[in-house]
Amino acid sequence: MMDSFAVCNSGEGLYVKNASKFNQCLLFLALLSLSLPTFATDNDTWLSSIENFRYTADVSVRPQVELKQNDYSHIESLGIDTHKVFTSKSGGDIGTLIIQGYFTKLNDIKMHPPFYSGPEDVKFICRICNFNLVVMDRGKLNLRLGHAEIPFGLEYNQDTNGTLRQYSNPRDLGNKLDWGLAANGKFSGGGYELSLSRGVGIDWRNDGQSYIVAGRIERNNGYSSVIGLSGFYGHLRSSTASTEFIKRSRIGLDAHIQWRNLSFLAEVSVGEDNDSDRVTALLETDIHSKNEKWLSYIQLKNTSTKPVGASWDTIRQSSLGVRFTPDNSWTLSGQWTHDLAVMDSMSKKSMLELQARFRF
Amino acid sequence: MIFQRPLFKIICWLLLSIWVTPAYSIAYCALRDPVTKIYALFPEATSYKSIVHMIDAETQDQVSLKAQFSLHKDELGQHTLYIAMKDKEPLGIIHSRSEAGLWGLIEIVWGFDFDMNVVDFTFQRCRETSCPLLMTSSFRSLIKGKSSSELRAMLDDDKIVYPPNVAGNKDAEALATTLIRSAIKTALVTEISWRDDLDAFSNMHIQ
Repeated sequence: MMDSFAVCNSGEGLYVKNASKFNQCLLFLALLSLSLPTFATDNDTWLSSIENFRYTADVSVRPQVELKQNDYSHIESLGIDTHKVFTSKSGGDIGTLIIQGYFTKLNDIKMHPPFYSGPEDVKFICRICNFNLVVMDRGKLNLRLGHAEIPFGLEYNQDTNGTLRQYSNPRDLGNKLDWGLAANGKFSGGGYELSLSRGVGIDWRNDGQSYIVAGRIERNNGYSSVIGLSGFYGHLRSSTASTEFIKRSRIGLDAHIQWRNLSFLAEVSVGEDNDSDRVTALLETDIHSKNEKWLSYIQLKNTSTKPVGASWDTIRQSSLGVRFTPDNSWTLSGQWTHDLAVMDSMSKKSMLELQARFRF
Repeated sequence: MIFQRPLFKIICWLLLSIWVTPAYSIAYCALRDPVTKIYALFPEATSYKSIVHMIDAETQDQVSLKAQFSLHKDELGQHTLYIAMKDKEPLGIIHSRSEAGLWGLIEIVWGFDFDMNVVDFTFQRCRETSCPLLMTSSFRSLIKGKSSSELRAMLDDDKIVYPPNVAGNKDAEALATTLIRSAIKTALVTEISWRDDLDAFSNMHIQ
């Protein structure tokens, strides 16, 4: 059966050769679904009999249109989200394994992230794939090994993988996920994570010269407000021809405050890309309904850079979004992102994105 | 080619859609154990043990029979029960449940002993202004040590004598009632869905 996937390991991750293979993956999952009883309960399937194991298929369709040029494109993704807690027979938990494997298909996405090979690419991505091992009692120290979020900024406490709503890490750090090792823990009123990772992002590449050291420490008031301090240093391979590597450093501060059904989130980071100064900021206000099925938010994002011997240049965007979760399976989202200010060499864009996501 | 045809895609989506199990609308990487709350409720604990179990429609029906309220359909699905441990000695049970509040969902972390009497509670998430009032020892002592039947009797007979800092404050009284109902619901759900696991766990540690 695996042959029909015809995936090839190019050394830069797993790529599905063409779009028909994506549809074959879809067929495989559909046939798998037939091998399992309808309306399965915990005792019905061999998967459900695995102790402390959760699994969910996750399908999403994301049409988007660039309003100024009326340029339509769409992204589809199909994956499995799994979560397994390992426990000892006579003692406590040993660790938690999370594996999220997704096939993603781009359809005429011209402005695609660099880990895709082109606007029509189909690719297998291991979003979060790591094991978090308990090392010390009382949650003081765990070791996370695998593909995980870089501990920096608001992203650490907000799950945005596969969602329209995003925070600063992709545009500020270049990526929000990396392969590596992280120490993390909780203490009364806070927590920390310190990671050393390979600096390769989504794909596992044999590149011994890039790396990232990042960390975040937070304090909270028990249940409603959080403030975090983050640091990042990366020696990263550059995607431009002018330089082979970028030395990227950041110091960041983030905060999350709740008041009634409103949340206020903010993050700011300052640092350097080689010798260019850089300041990134994000402000968000969101409001949700009483049952939290509806959420709407507005974000203001600012990225300012100052190359050596030049003046500051700024990109400023606003995003207005809404999310509706009618039940435990469906999530429907929409987001309008509008460029308020762009660099001299760029043209302003206005993007409307919609997403239907189904987990079952 | 058949794989390229729209009809093929539609058939695949339909096949997928019949494999419907109670899911969790957020990705599993967003699941967080209430680590600091577990150690706040059981300060002597050194670790905890997770037991994941399905809360299904059968559990929902049984809760409806035993209490005058039921589980919301969004509460169905897989949930985690935690056993607080001091080395290899089990100290108690921790179960986190969500309830509707004035300004959004309130996440309450409950501590129970193995006879399902309330040990204590704390909030993991709460936007109500009256949450700090309910965290005072005067209210907590009202429900500590009580079983689900004793708590049900408090609600049924309208015998709740609110402490002075809660009495007269409508929001605080409403939240207090929500908390009592949550304690009853959590105890019943735990007894119904996790009883076999807890019995097996208790037997293992008694031996």
